[in-house]
Amino acid sequence: MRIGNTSSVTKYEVLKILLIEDEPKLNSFLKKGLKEQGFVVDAVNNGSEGMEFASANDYDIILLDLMLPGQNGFDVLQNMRAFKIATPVIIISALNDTENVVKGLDMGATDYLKKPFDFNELVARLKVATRKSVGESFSNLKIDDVRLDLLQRKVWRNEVEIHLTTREFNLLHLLVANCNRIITKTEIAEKIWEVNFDMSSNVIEVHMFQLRKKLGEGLGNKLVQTKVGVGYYVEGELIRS
Amino acid sequence: MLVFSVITLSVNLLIYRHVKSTLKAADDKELLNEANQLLLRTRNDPNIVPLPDSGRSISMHVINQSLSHEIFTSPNFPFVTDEQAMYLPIIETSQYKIATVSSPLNDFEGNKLVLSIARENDKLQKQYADTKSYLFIANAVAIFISAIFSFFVSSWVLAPIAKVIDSANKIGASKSMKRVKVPNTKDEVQQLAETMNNMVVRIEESIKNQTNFFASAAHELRTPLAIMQAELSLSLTNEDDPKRKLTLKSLLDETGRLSRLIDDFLIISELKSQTLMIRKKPARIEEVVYSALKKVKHLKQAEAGRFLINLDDNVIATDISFDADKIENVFINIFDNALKYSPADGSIQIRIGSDANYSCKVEIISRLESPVEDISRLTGEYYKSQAYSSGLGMGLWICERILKLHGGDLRLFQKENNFHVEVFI
Repeated sequence: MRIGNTSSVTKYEVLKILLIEDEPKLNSFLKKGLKEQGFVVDAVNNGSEGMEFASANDYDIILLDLMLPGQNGFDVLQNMRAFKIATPVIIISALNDTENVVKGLDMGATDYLKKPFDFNELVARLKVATRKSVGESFSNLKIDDVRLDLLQRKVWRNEVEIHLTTREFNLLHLLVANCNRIITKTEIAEKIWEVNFDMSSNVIEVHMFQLRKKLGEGLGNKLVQTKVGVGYYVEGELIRS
Repeated sequence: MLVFSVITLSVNLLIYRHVKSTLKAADDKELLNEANQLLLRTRNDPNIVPLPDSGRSISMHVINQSLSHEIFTSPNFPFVTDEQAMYLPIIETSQYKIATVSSPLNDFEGNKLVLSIARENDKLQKQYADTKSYLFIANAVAIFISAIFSFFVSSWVLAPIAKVIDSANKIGASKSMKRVKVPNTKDEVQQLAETMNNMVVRIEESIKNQTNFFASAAHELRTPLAIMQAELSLSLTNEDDPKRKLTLKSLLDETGRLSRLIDDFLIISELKSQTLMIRKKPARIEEVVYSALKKVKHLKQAEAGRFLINLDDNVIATDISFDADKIENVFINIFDNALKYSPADGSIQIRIGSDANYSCKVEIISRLESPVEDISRLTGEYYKSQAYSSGLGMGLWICERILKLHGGDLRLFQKENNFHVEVFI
C-alpha cells in the first residue's frame, strides 16, 4: 500500500480546441493564452465557420460564444448535435441568466462559463471537461463486485444499480481508479471538491458515509476502507474494459 | 351617511321644538280655561271661594291699582317670590304651572278679582321627555336602517368598481402583468377598467425597457471585461517582474470587482421591478455551498482554507427545491463578507443542517474585529455601517430578497465576538 501524492486519475494529451467567438480581441487573447497552455487552437469568429470547422475536424472540445452574428450559439450547438458531432462544448457567454444556462446545458453543452471569467478557471474547466472524454481508453472499471460505467456514469454492485450523486460517483471513481493506494483527505479535497477547505471539516467523512451507505457497506463486503488519520482506499484487483 | 345623520338630527330637533311649543300652548290654554271656569263660579263675589279639581290649588286676591288683598290661598299653593310675575297669565317652572285670570268687581271702586290656579307641571314635562325619547329612538332607528340600506345599495352600486379595485390590487409589477377585468357596462366603470389596462400596458412596456436596458448594458459591459480579464490573466501568467505582477494582479481584482458590481446592478434592477425569475429545481444545498466557495476561493485563494464546514447527514441526503444559481449568489455574498470583515487568521464556520420550519438551515459564523452597530439595518437598501463601508451596501439586501422569494429567511446576529448569518431555505 502506498500513500499517493497527486498522480492524476487520467492523463492529458495535447488537446485540440475549436474556439468560436466573434469578439476579435477576446478571440485573439483566448487563442494566444490557450496555445501558451499547450492546447492546439483553431479560432473562428462566426457560427457558420464554426460549424464548418467542427464538421471537418476532430476536436477534443469546442468553446462556443452565444451571441454570434448569423447563426447564434444555440443554433450552432443544435446543428452540431443534429449532424452527430458529439464533441464536448463549453459555452462562454455574457448571457448570465439561469434560463440561458439551463437552455445551453439542456441542448447538450458540457459546461457554461459566464463572462467575464478568469482565464485560469477556463483552463481548469477545459481539463475537467476533457477528462471525461479523452485520456481513458476504457469505459468500465470493475473491482470486486462493483462495476463503474464511466461514460454513462453509472454504478452497479452485484449487478444492482446504485444511484449516486455526481460527487459520490467522482469520489468512488477516484478511489477505484487508484485502488490499493491510500488517497489522503487533502488529495480528495483538491480533486473532488477543488476547494481547499479547513481539513477539520467533516465534509469528506459525511460524503464518504453516504457513499458507503448507498454501496450497502453495512450489509455486504466493505469496499471502501479507512486508514485512520491518513485517508481512504479500495483494495482489490481492478479490471478495466 | 354623516350628512344624512346631521340633516335628520336637525329636522328632528326642529320638530321637537315645534311639538314642544304646541304642547305648551295647549296646556296653557287648558289651565287658563280651568282658571276662567273657577272665576266664573265666584260670580264676581270675592266671598265665594270656588273649589278646584283634585291636584289643583288656587289663590284669590282683590287688587286695586298696586294694592293687593289676599282673599284665599290653598295651603299647597306654590310660593311665588316675584310679585310682578304673580300676575302674569302663565308662570311655569319644571315643578308647577300657574295660570292667572282676573275680572273687575262690580263695586265701582275699580277693584279686580284675581284668581290663580296652580298644578304640578310633571305631566307636561313627561310629555316633553316622551316626545324627545320617541324622536331620538325614531332618529336612531332611521339612521340605522338607512345605514344598512345605504351599505347594501352602495355595495351593489359600487360592486363593479370593487371588482376593478380587486383586480388592480392583484397586479404586480412584472414583464407580463395581469389585466383588470373589463365589465361590459358601457359606463364610467368600463372606462375606468380600460384606462387602468392602458396604464398597465405602459408600465409593462416601461419595465420591459428597463430590464432590457440593464440586461443589454450588463452584456455590453461584460464583453470588454472578459477581454480585460483574459488579457490580464495571460499577462500575469507570463510576467516575471514581481512589481508588474502585483500591478496586474490588482487590475485583475478590480475587473473582478467591476464584474460583480454589474451583476449586482442587474439583480437589483430585477428585484426592484419584480422581474427576477426564481426557477426552483431539486438540488443539493451542500453542492451550492461548495460551488460558492470555489468562486469565493477564486477571489481570495490564500484564505480559502479558513472555511470549516460541518454537514448534517440528513440534510445532504435529500434534494431541496430552490434556484441554485440565485442561492449560490447569496452564499458568495455572505462568504465574501465573512472574509472581508473577519480577522485574516480567523476561521469561518459553515454549518449545514436542518430546521423545523424550513427545508434547511445554513449558518455562517465568523469572528468580528469590532462589534457591528444596527445589525437590523444591515439588510436595508444602500446601508453601509460606518465601520465597514466598502461596496454598494446592497449585498445583504439582495440576499434577503432572494431568500424571501424562495419563502426562506435571512437572520443576522452577533454573539460573543462572533457574527452569525443564518440562511433558511
